[in-house]
Amino acid sequence: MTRHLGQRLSALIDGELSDTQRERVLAHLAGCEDCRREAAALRMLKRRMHALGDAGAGDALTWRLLALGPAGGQRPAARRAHRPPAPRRRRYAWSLAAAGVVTAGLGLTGAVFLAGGGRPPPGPKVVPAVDVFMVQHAITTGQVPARPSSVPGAGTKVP
Amino acid sequence: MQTRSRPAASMAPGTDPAALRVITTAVLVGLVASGVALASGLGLLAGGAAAPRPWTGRAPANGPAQAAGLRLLREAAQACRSLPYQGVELAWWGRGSRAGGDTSVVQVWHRPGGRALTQEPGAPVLTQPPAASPSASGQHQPVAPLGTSGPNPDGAGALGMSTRLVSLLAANYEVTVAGRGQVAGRPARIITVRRPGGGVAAWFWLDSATSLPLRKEMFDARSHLISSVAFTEVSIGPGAVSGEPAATASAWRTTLAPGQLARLRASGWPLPGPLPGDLTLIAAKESTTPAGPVVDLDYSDGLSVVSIFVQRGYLPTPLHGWSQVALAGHKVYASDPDELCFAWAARGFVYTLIAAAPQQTVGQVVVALPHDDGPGWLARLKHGLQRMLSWVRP
Repeated sequence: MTRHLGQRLSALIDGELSDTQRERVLAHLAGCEDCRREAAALRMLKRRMHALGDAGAGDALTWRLLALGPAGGQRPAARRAHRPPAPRRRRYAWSLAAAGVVTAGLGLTGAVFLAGGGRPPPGPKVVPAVDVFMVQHAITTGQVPARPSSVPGAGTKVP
Repeated sequence: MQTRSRPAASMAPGTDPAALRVITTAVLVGLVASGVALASGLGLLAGGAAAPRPWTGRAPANGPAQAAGLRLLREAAQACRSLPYQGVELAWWGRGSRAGGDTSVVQVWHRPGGRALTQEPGAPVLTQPPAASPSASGQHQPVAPLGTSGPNPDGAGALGMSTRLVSLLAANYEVTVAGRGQVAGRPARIITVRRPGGGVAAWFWLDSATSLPLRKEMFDARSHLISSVAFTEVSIGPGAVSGEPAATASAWRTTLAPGQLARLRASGWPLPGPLPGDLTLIAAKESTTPAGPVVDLDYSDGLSVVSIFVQRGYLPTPLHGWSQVALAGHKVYASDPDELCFAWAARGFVYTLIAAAPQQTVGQVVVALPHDDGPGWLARLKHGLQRMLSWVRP
């Protein structure tokens, strides 16, 4: 059973093979119709990809596609070219960290505010003895303060 | 085609709109900050209200007219102490531009050396003890709560005058003799009391024969009448007083000397000295209640009288029988429709303010006293942090 070239074929198209490897692959292509058809298809695909220019998938799509691949597996050069540059990744990480810090700060402040509630004010609960105070004020004033409605019998009110 | 904007690089620094906005904002902020700093330095802001205020009006006149007016008022103060008299007073207290107000009728008895007894017809009596009676023993006199048929606080010495109040009048107002009139069928001389700015603050009608005050009207800073008290009938002289009832209430006897006030302040009691509106502390008393001691501070400028009752504690919420109102930018409780009695709690103390004064003066006093309106959330955060730290390090 003849073994076909597989991934070595795409490496040949991308020019990534050494001289010895390239000789072996070319020798195989000379005798294998299937691999020649696949090599032609790959070249056509590569030309069309180049014809598309710099248009590429968005960052989010790229990262999702990369996540589908095997961890530590060999990545094609075309895929590595779509990874975000290092400064952008750092900005992304810093943004995430800042958002985390802000969220934690707000949460902590809210917790502190909630914990500070419910404190009973210092001292006893006091209802001002306004009727007694009114008498003392009247004794002091020598004038006529308005009669509070809460002081019963505090004067004859004339309509 | 014209472009709508020019490239920033081609603009001179002084013509860039963004730069101009920044410069304008900086200048405005600087002006505001300078104004605030200047006002703080002059003590014009609320926080500096307890500090001595600059004299903003012109000094009271010291001419012959002022001397004659003051002489008559001093005679009136002496007459209030020494003359026996009995009569009926009609009193009205309003709020300047507001219609309505309260009107009361009280009967008044006075014997030489004492203070006036006042009583509404058919009710028990409020007494005013002699001025020389306060005890320095330091004992607390229990507060006697008033029942539903309690004494009448309205008419307590409504026309009373003391030498201390006359001295304050002389310091803060211009007093002149305005002419002659008649009250309750008796000839009277009219005294005009003016503010340093020139507006009328009060009129007194003094009995021509005895100098006893027969009528008094007070005005606010906008010359609106805020109170009027007058005898509708009066008898003066030996034999004029008869049938006076027994007293059922008296002033708190524990007066606080300056040294005692200083000790209370040192222990954390917020007891202000002079207040805005030329209000001078004229009396300080203390009593006890089931909730603890109460300090009564009385202030006057010679005409207005403001009493502030301070006690430790906090107000219940809601405070039944009171309504919450906004006064001079602060939330306080008012006990009556005319809003001359206010209460609020701040920093562990409850303040109850009762005023016989123009509303503007009351607002100034309220602003000058402590409030918890501002830093409440900061205090809550501080307390919350302390509580959470105690969880970590009990």
